Amino acid sequence: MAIGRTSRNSLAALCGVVLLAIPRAALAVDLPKVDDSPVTLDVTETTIVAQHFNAREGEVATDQGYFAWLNRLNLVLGWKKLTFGTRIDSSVYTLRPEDGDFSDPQLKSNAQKDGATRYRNSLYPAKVYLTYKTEGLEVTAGDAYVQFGRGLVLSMRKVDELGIDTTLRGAKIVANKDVFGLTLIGGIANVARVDEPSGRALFLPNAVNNDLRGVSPLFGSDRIVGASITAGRGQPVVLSTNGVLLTRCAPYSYNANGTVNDSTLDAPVGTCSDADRSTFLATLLPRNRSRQTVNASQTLEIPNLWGHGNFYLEGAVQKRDPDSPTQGNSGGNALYASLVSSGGPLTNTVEMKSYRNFNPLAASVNVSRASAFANIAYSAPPTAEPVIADSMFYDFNACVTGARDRLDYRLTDTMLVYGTFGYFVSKSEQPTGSCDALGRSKATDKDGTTDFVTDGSVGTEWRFDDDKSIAFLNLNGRHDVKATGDTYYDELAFQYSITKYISGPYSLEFAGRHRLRKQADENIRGDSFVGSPWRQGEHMTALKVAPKWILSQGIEYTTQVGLPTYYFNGGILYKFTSQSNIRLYAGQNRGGLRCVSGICRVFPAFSGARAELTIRF
Amino acid sequence: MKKAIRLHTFATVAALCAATVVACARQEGATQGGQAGATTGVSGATVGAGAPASDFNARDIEGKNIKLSTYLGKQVVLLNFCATWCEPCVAEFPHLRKLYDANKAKGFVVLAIAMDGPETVANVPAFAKRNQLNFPMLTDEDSRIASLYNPKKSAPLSVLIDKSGKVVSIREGYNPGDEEFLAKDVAKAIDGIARENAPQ
Repeated sequence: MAIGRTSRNSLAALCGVVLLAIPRAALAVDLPKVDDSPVTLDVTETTIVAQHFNAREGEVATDQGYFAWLNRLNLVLGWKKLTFGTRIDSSVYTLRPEDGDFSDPQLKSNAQKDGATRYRNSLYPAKVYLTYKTEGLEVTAGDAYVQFGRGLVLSMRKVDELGIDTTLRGAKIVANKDVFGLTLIGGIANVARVDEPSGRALFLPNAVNNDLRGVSPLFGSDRIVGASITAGRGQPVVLSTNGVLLTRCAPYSYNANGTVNDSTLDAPVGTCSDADRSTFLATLLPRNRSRQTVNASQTLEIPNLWGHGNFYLEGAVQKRDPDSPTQGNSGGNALYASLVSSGGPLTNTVEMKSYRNFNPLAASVNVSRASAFANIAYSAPPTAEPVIADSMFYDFNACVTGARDRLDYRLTDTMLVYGTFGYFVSKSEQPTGSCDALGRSKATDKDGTTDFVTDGSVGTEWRFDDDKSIAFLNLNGRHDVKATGDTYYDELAFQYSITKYISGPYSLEFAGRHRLRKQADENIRGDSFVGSPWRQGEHMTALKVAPKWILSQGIEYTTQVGLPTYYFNGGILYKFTSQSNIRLYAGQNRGGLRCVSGICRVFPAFSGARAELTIRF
Repeated sequence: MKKAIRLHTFATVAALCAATVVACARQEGATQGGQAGATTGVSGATVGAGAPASDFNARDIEGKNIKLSTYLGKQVVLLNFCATWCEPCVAEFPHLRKLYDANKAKGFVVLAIAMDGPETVANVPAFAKRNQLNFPMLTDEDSRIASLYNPKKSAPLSVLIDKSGKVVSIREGYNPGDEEFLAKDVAKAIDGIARENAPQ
């Protein structure tokens, strides 16, 4: 009953919103002055409704078939030197897999167990903050994004493409005076609790009969304190010293019988008592069980090399507490540098990294039950990988040394050509690989866990039709071979994005990426025990009518064994004001690993229809 | 549970309807009240058009500290949120360069804001160079500026601030032809300056 009503209401709401967006009648909303000072209100409202169709052959049944409605309401109020902001998130799910009829009771039971951490209805304040800002001082109480240096030590931020939105809920003070800067932070990590692509949620799981895992929390109480001191702001040389301490605690206390005490008043921000903490940490991956981790770094930056580039260097150390399961190998360090140089038509960027047993500050997530959140971390050591690269496996960056260079040459005012080349040695790309603080492999099979990776690309950017048309073309390849001589991964890919202006407001876009991939032990055919190559790609054609419309149609494909070969989809984007729009999308998307510059996550396949409405004012 | 869902549904629909009604008002205000605000200095804060721009402090790719308030009240400012991985941003840049060149003498400034995180921020200086930017590019690694003006982190996204320091338009995305609409917005905002400076 509730399912039908909710679905009807959601459709009615969507129609209502679209209709309301059309009228042109003049309306006005005023906020009264307070203490003779104006009050400003900025609102960004995003609502998403999606109906997932049933899983296709080869796809996971419990990933599909449900209806989801997610809403994010951003409010920012400004008055004098104060800014108050909040984001209210909510989610409603119906037609969940566990609601379906199953002929096999075991399948029903499995769906219920999976549903204990999935498709949860919720309404909660995802972000809340109050900021006071004056000359040289900014104080925030509540949620704040924060990053020190290039992210080796600390990086809590938003990556929409991967569904990451992590803030520090506590206090942040930024003070700047002349050439000096100081940032102090302290609080508890606050991550997005609902993962839209998978429907997985980090709330306390539902109790399910016969689920031996019980109601164990999925996300810990991660406390973070840190400081960053900068000297030389605006000067030729800038130095920064950064330090962070992560302390992992239990989000709840546990009763004597091992059950969670979820009373709100019992441990509102979690508990660091030994017993509770031990119980909770036992649910995490062994490498994430350190009770405390210290990251510290020193940076040196020359932001202007006589008008021809800049230089950045950061050295970092990491110390995990000796009680961790990695006892005896609890120290790591990292060195990262980038140099940009330019002259005439040439621009060159080189990035170098050498990380030895240096892990990201992983969030305390029980990934065995909430793998969609496995990529959440409070630091992000630069990967030096292309933004679309998705072929760094396992803990590729924990023990890696290498560099990447990109050289751009501007042939004409409208044409740029470039080439990139990268070479890396990783001792942590294989699950059994690891290294110590000196970079020495700790694996039993050293050759089998050491990977030599070479990759490169050539490409061009070409503008024409008086800069109204543009083409991006790129050809790239990657070769990953173990020290044993066995190839682990190979890829050759072609990527393009061509926008052709037609006339008036009309233009066409053709974009796609086509890949030939081969990975050890992947795509195994027949009786063979070695992986065989597969093709994978996508193409999208779009008609654009400025400034209101984009109509697009796409196709994806993969020849990987066990998966559907073709995926078709189409979409419409309509901007009913310059800053508000609605996107309608229907069709299918391939699941799999997607990455943004080396930070990756697995997305489930999608079949269905989706509408996303964004309103800003 | 059913009751909770219904309550949630009602609350969300109500929020959406209210938001949309206000958005419509905002759209109308952008073409009427916004211009009036730019020329006459409307007293009182109205939602949307005419909302005062929030100040921020950031570093450009040459290490200079840039404060938005340096420009507020003196020049028309266009904040252009972009990222090194954003192809529509690259497509829009030539038009922004032309727009800046054509109007900088009239009190117009463009501040590009790269939203790159630690993975790609090293590429920002070269990105600015190879796109021949003739206006400053700031970095926003910790999303402080984006959280003020672009909480969804859309790229590109342009925020136009008139000489009185009020936001007069926000444009998301770029398709060929959009530059003409942006140019009209800029011309309107600059026209406010011209009228203000005209001899009485």
